[in-house]
Amino acid sequence: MLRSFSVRNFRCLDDLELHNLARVNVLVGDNDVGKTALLEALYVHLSQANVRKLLDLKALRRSHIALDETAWQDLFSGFDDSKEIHISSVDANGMERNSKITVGPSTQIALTVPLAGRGFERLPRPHFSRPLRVEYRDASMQEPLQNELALEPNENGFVQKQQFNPDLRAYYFSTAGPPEAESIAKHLSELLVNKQQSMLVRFASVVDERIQDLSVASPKGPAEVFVDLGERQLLPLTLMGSGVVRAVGMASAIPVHAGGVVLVDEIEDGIYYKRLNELWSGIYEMSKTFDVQIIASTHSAECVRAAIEAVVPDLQDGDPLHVYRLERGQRLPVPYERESLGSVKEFLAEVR
Amino acid sequence: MSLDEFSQPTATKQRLILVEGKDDLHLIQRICGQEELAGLIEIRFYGGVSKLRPFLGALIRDAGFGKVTHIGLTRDADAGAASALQSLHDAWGYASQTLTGFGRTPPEAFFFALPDDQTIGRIENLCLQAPVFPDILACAEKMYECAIAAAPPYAIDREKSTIAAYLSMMRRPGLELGTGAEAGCWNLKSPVFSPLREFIRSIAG
Repeated sequence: MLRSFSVRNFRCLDDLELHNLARVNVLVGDNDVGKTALLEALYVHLSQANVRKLLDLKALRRSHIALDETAWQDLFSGFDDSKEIHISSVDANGMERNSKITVGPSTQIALTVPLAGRGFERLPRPHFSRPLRVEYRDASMQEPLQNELALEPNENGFVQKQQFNPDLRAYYFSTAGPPEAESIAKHLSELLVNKQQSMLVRFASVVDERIQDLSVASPKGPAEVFVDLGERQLLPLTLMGSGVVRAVGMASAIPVHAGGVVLVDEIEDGIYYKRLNELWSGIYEMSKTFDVQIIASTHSAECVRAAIEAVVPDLQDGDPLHVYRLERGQRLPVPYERESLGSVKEFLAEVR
Repeated sequence: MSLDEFSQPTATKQRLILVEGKDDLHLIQRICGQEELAGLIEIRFYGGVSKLRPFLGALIRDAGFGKVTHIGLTRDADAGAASALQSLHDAWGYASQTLTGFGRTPPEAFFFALPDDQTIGRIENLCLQAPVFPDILACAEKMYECAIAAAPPYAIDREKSTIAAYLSMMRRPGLELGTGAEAGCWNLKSPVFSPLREFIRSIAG
């Protein structure tokens, strides 16, 4: 579990620190204060030097990917890609991790083939581009991991210089629609193999009490998740409401990322307000069972209140829930911990 | 006391006074009105001295608190002004340290121990010295003496019972100390309220 985290020069976050993180952490605050950017920074950091994740973030935001020297400017605060992005964390064991993201020098690309794919455009000639570089280091490494994402001619777009699979123990749910059906199917398959699906089914039935079982099948090619509602035929999960899909997606990601971090943007999205208490109870129980840290953002006071009611009363875990209110221009968010969350609940104060 | 009354703690003005209960709130609001400070100062009640620290814990974290530049804290001096003031200083000290801990600048703080920042007592003591109808208050005091003479098997709070008896004989029955202030049952211009007025003016700046 992470205990503290800091980020500098990433998107709208010039300098921000989070301290004393708990098992469940909720980010609140006004629009455009950096809640999503903070989750993205965490995800990038926990992805170690998997620089491709930065490209994935652009796709999640549906950002146009300029195939020139300005390709990475939107990752840097003030759109100044001469800066360095620094992301650091310390975990519960005291291990410090550091990520640094920079943009390399401009190089001329001699393009001989057109590029294809969503968001790409045909390059004019001559053309310049700058590689995105990531350096990751933690105490277990003698040398930092370094990687680079560059626009390559004769390839379909951007190419990661080094291919490696870090022990990625982080999963990010953005607001870019429900999680991909493929990833839910993959996660559920892992749970089925390990006979861990009953917890997921119990969680899903909390969000929709008709759900009796979840399974994975491939009647038409790719693996899909099917839901048993007690009717004649199983229903593809993708035909359920987006809230159910999202809830199942979140719950299936938790066991699969045991020991890691699950990041969720606007966790209340698509969930009926009366189900929020059960949602949080289920997420909290699963996070404890699988030792997963949850960091989520929300705009909903009901969602925060539900988290307080569902999580704070756990006397076994002394301080299980922290809420952080981000404020524009402030390096330190306003923290709400056990004592102040109790006060907030008593005085019906708004936390969002 | 309904928790609904706490439901909007977000500060709306730069100057904020915290009081123990609803009676204090209504009375001080009335004084602010007379001083033409009602638009400048916001007043909140925290529900009793045992709740001040947790109330401050919630208040300082509220999104609106960043706009507060001056804060006044008040309570009754049940056991003496010095101890009452110390408890206010202690509660605020913890809150302001917490604020500093997450990088915020605490507002300027002011403290007042009712009734007059000097003597033991409560807001009731001030009101009993400044009734608009002193002859009716005399009747209420006689009622108290009559009740004491009946030797009931319980203690009677002299100030509260006398005030309740006085207010029961006003044009509009059912008033409490604070709503009695709004109804004009207390002479808030009396010199006994001067220390409280000075405190309010010091927050207004």
